[in-house]
Amino acid sequence: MPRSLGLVPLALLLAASPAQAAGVWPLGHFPVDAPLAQLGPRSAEAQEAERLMGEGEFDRAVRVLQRGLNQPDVTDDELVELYRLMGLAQLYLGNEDRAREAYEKLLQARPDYELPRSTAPKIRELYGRIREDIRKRRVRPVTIHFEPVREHLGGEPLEVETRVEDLALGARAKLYYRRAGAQAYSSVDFVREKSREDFRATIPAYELPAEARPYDIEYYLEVADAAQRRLAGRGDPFNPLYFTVRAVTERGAVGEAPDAWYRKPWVWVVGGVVVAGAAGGIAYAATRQPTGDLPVKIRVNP
Amino acid sequence: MSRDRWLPIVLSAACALSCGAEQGADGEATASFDLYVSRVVIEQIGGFQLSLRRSGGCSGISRTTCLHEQVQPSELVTFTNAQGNKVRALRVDSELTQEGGIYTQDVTLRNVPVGRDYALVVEAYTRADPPLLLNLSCTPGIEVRRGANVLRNAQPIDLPEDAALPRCAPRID
Repeated sequence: MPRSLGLVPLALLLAASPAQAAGVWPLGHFPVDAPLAQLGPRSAEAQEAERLMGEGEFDRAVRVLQRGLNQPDVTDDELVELYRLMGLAQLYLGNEDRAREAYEKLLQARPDYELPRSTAPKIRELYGRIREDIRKRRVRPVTIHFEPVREHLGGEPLEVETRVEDLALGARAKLYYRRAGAQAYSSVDFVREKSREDFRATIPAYELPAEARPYDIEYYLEVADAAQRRLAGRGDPFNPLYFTVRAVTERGAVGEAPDAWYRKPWVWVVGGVVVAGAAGGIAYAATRQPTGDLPVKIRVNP
Repeated sequence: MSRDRWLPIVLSAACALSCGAEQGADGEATASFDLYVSRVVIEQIGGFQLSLRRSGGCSGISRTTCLHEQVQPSELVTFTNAQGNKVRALRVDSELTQEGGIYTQDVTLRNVPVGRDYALVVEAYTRADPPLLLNLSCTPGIEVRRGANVLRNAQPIDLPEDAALPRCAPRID
């Protein structure tokens, strides 16, 4: 008999409303269900863990849930459900710290998630405290490591790599870009790479055509949570980063991309001197009195 | 009294005493005295000083007194000399040439501010050091337009037969 089986009565008391605690539930209908509106498809691990918890097998349920969380292709909805069950199972096992950790991750993914009404008051109270902590931003901030792009060969897709640490569940990293002078940004999602913190986004080649003259692309990175609140970023719509798409030479090859002329400091220095000189000349000409040459014939009467 | 002041008189007297009246073929004497005296004064001119009076014309300008004793410097127009310096008077050496019965010399005043009703004052001075005024002329109604202007004839400077005894140093700085 599992050691945790003795905790079943306690779990029943914690999880259930008074009416339910009076023995309304059969063992196979343990109150772990969440409102359907809040959840999408459930993973196999979540279903198995729920069954085990109904049988009082909380240790086994935790292991099954951990296995589900380690799957590489778990959706956010599945993660939310797995963490919700994990929090509950850890509470039944008396591990409040681990339960708190699970609920924190759940709330990072779904800041507006509500526990089922049937959840026991003590659990709801703990859950409320955790949610308040998150609202006060006592969780670790998202960190972005990113090497800005300086220039790019026209006609080829551009892959942008970044490392995002402490990315909240449900949060998305996106790359926004537009051609300098355009009004609206396009965007591509960052896709997770080999590790959970490495991401890659690709701007398609047709967005970066090779042209006779170099041009600039403005862009910025943004990590936003499920409620589209910005958690972190590099650049923003009003102060974007930029890179230059190099020009095509006459032979068809892609040549060096000189910095745009208007970005060269000496252009502005020379321009300023010319403008100042012209202004001074105009002012001098406007204030200077016109003159003339006067030939005179001196005459002397002998 | 300086030698320049006496020179024309001494020369005139010497000529009159030594030459006297020339006996003409018909027995009448012809006197070249006047012409001789004038020639001496012409050669005595060392140069000219030209100024433009801004307003007031020639009224109150005496021909026998240096201009700077008659007007304030602020009344004179500023222009440039041959060296490009701003001046209120242009001095030129005498290089008179004879045209008919009058001696003339052309001078150009450069970069004169455009204006009208200027008065042109030409002072003739001696070769002495310092130069002394012989006489001056004043030409009213001078108009200066932008760029090149037409040649203006200054009023003739009369050299009186008494050799116009110099009265002052006309230099204007």
